[in-house]
Amino acid sequence: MTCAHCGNVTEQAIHFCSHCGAAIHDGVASPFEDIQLTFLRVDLSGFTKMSEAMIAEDVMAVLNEIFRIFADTVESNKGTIYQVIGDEMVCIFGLDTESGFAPHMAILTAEDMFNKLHEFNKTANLESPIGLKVGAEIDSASIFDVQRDLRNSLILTKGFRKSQILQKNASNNTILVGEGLYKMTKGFFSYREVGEFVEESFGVKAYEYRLKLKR
Amino acid sequence: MIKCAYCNYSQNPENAKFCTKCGVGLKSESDSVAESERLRLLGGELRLLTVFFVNLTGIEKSIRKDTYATTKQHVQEFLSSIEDIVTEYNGTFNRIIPDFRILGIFGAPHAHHDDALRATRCASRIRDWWLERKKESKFFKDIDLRIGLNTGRAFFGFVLKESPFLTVIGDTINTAARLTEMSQHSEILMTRPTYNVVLRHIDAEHIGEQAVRGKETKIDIYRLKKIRATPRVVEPQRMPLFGRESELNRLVNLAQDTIQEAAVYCILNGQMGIGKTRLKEEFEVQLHKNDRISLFETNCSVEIQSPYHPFRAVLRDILQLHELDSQEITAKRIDEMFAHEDATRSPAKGAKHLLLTDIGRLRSEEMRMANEEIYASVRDIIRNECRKRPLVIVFEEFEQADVMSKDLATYLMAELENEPVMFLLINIPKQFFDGISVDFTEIDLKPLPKQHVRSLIQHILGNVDNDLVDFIYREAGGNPLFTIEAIRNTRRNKAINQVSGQWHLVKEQALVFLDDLYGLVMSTIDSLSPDPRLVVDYASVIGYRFSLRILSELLTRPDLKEHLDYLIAEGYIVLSSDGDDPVYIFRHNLLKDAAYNVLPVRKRKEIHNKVATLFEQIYSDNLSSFYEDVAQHYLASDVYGPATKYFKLAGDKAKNLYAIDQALSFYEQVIDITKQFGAQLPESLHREIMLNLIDIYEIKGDINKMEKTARERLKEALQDNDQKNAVLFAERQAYGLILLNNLESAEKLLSSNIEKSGEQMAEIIPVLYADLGMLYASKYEYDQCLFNFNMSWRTARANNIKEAEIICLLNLSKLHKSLGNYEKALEYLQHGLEILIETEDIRRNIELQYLTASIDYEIWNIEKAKNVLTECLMTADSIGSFDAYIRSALDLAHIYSLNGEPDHVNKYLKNVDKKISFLIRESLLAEINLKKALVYYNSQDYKKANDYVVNSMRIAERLNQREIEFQCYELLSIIDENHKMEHVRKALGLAEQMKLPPLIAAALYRMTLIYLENNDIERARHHGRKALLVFDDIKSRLSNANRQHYVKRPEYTRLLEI
Repeated sequence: MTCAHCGNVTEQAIHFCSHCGAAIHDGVASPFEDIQLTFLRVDLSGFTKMSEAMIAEDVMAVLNEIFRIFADTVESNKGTIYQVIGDEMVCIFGLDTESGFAPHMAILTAEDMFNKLHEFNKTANLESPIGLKVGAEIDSASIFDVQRDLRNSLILTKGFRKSQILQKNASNNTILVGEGLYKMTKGFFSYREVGEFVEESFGVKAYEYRLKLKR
Repeated sequence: MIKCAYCNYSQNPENAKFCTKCGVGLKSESDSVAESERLRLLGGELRLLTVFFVNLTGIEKSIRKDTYATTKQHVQEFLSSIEDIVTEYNGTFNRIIPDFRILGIFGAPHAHHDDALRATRCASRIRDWWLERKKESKFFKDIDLRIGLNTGRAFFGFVLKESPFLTVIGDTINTAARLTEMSQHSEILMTRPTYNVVLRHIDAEHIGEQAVRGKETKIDIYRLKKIRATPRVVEPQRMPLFGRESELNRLVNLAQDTIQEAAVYCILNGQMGIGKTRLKEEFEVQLHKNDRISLFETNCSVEIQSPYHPFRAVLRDILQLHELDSQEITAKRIDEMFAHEDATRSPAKGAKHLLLTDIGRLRSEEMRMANEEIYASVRDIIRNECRKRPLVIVFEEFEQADVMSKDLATYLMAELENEPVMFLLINIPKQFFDGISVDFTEIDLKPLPKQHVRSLIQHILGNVDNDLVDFIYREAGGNPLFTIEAIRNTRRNKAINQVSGQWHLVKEQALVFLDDLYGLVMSTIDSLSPDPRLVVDYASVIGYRFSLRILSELLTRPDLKEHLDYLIAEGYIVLSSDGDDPVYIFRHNLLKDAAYNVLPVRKRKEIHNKVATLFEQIYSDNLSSFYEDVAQHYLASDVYGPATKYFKLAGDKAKNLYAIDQALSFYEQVIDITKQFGAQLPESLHREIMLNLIDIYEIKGDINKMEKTARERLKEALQDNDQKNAVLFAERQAYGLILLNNLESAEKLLSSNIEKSGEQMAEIIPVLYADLGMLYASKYEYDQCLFNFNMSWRTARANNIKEAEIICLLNLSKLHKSLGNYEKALEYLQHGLEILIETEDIRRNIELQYLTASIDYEIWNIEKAKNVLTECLMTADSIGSFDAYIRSALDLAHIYSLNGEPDHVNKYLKNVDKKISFLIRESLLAEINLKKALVYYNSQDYKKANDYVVNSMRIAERLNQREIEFQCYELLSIIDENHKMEHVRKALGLAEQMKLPPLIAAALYRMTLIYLENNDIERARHHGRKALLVFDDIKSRLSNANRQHYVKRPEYTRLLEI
């Protein structure tokens, strides 16, 4: 079997090239092209401001603790953490075909994060509680140089940008989803239409998910 | 087959980088270890960073099913190209793929002194790359690149330990992100904090304050136009140089011409204000025009002396290190710089002693070794540098340099005299050169003659009348600084005025402020307007040199940098080193002193306290470079606890650099503070100081004080039941007692402490046994001596204390050599060279090699001894080992003098004289003098031989060096015609007292010869037979091969003839 990406030859039947890590479908290297993925962007609100009054070790300890809780939630809902950008986490759902209802799992993950953060705020004894702003959307994507942990893979999609615009425009402690995700999941969850956000001629219709928080 | 840690699939090929089942990267074990180590070190730091985002905007629009492949290729190219550029500038990057952004980070995990400038240069380079690429590619046509830079503190670290992500958090990052969003059409925007740091290196346009999303306050923004090829220099508004043309030409000639032939050493002296600094500056301007000459300058003025301060500065310049770089960066740079050198002889070792701080308790031998390595390193580094390009090193205010630096300068002048190097020493009496056998040039600046004073006045005022010139010349006396200040003052006080374009004297009034320097300097400072004056006030509390970071924390003013530039332009201060944290120096020490002295005491204390804490906060990763300063600032603010702590650390630092007097003064300072102000010093700290003080007294030869201090502290430690320190003090006291020849008390003390020392004090037991061995050697009880040296060796081996083992081995081989057991001695040395001592430990290797050669000489294997000594000599020179060099050179001179080869003899003697410096311990002086005496005797210069032997005898008697005393008598019995028998009898008496067979044989042989000369054949035969018996006994203990050499000893063959 020859990898079409790097030319590495192997006699075994394999899923990924041992030399470059490219995915091999039916014996040839190819990207995951044009697959539907759900993108979830979660930003901690008020964290940066609060961190300025803390010592470095405490800042990293708090951030680690919150992200560890979130990582467990993402993993248990069959999602993948793609990147952490400062106090923002970018997750992808739908990569693992066994997961089934990936778009729904993304919403449930976000809701779970709110509940767990609420618990964390109660016990962490912080100066002010940390909030969340969440944006999510489903879109087609292609993934190159795939590896299971995704870290070094390049993903081309408009989904990142759309979910970013939604996340930026979300009020504190709300989840905004795009039109695609809304259509896929409206039978299961309740939403409120918010309107359209446009950034640099990039428009996204937004719906606010009605959070069911455990208090 | 490799097993995947992620999915446990174990059929991956051996060379696989990725798991063939799940695609996860397969990391080697060493990678994982390195990564976890890195994470452990990095987890969560607050760092001063300069960051930028590079955003690629508009790319989303091109993402379509039919363009995936092209888009992927371009995005990949974009990301990897940007990352390559960031890496090129030693930055860290964070790829933010979801947003097509890259975050460039400068200042973590490794900080550089010029991170802001690196980041700005890197951003500019990225833009250049982008503009080129955009021209070539249709794909990027509608895509825009945006860059925004900001500088400030941010948290840097890794989150999610199991699967870590590098993350940077803080308002600094958010501001950079917002700024990047505001940028348009490939422009680079930067905030004021970044601009302030790099302003001299760039051209930028001030956009002004703008509101940004998510921030309550507006941010001040600059647009980068270009990076300047050469930094904008704040040029002092210097006067032309009046009346110093000949001196300037002389200096330039020395630097450009004379230097080609040999080293140039020049001193520049003259009263304050006479123009030394101005002449030096003009000289430097001339040198800068000549790119064939390198120039380094170091200012020796410090508030509190720190060992080798001026040389540390020179070395940093040569190694391209900023003076505030952390210890980590310094160590890395030294390793990089000398990576290609032979590790055993690399100058890296000495450079590290000098630039990194070790405060552990080193024994005197280790301290000497470290210091010798410093000497060799500095010599080699300067020599390498000047061989690339002739080198001029300017030492400003050299009189104020610490004693260690002055000694090092002396050594360097002798060592580098044939190299293209020039030392310009400013402000140092010419007596400094007394006792240094090198030529030097003195330039002593005298007051300017009247015509030059007139030119100076005319330059400042324009047209002036003669009365005014006469008046100022009379008052200022031809001193340029006084002249300038006299003009400023008379103009300010309207004592002169301008009529029809010409300046006149209004009233003749004595300028009393010129009567003393202080008045003059105060007048200069008072002429400053309030804002720059305030800067001078605060800076004066920090010190002669002050960093912008400390000053800006004390004086939080947006226009601080402008005031500093003004002070540079007006000649009050000079920029010493640039970068993110520039360092300034007062141009004249008196300026600083005067400004400091007029500050209210309470205010001064308050500032001192702030400065001390700022040093601790800002330079925490390089604090050891500033222990003396921090201590002084705390002391000046009456905060005694921390002051004692830092003085103690400064003492430890100085001691390990062999700056004994400085160490002593720091430790005494601690004791004074505790006594005077009742500052509480923890007992452990107090005992550490005492142990160090005892070591210092030993090195200084004050054995009585050493013994007394150890005795008193031993008593205290016993009262406090502090067993460990009690044993340490007991060992020191016993050692003192041995040196004072109070052997009985020493023996009791050592024996009782060997019993007391338990396993937890294992490291001291070999030392106690070694001391006992030495004690019995002093009593000439060699069986006991051997027993204790052996015990010392055994305990050192059992506890794996290699250094102690080596010392035992040396002791044993020396003892066997003295006893004439040459084979046994050689056996020990062989063991040391082949098994015990690492090949890299060149110093110890030479020590053992030298001892081997000296035994070869005794056996009369002269050729072998000569070869080994020649090798020792060369190696000792390359690593800067003074003792080994001098001993080897003298022994070689001795061997060549036996063969009658005067050229070789003179060459070695000359080399020895060059090396003899303060570093030569007193105990070696008797040996040096004796060896010189032997060489001169063999060369038939009996007068010199006599002088040296008498000198040697005097020292040996004082230091109780019996073997040397014996050899002196032996030589005197040959030279001193009138008292031959008297001397030989004394020699024999000593030999019998010491019970050393080779000495007994030598004395008997001398006696035989004297009887022969006196024609007393019977007595000659009697003593000759006795001598031969001893020689034969020694011979019988030799191997067959060595016996062949031994029988050729002149004494032996002569005795056989008799």
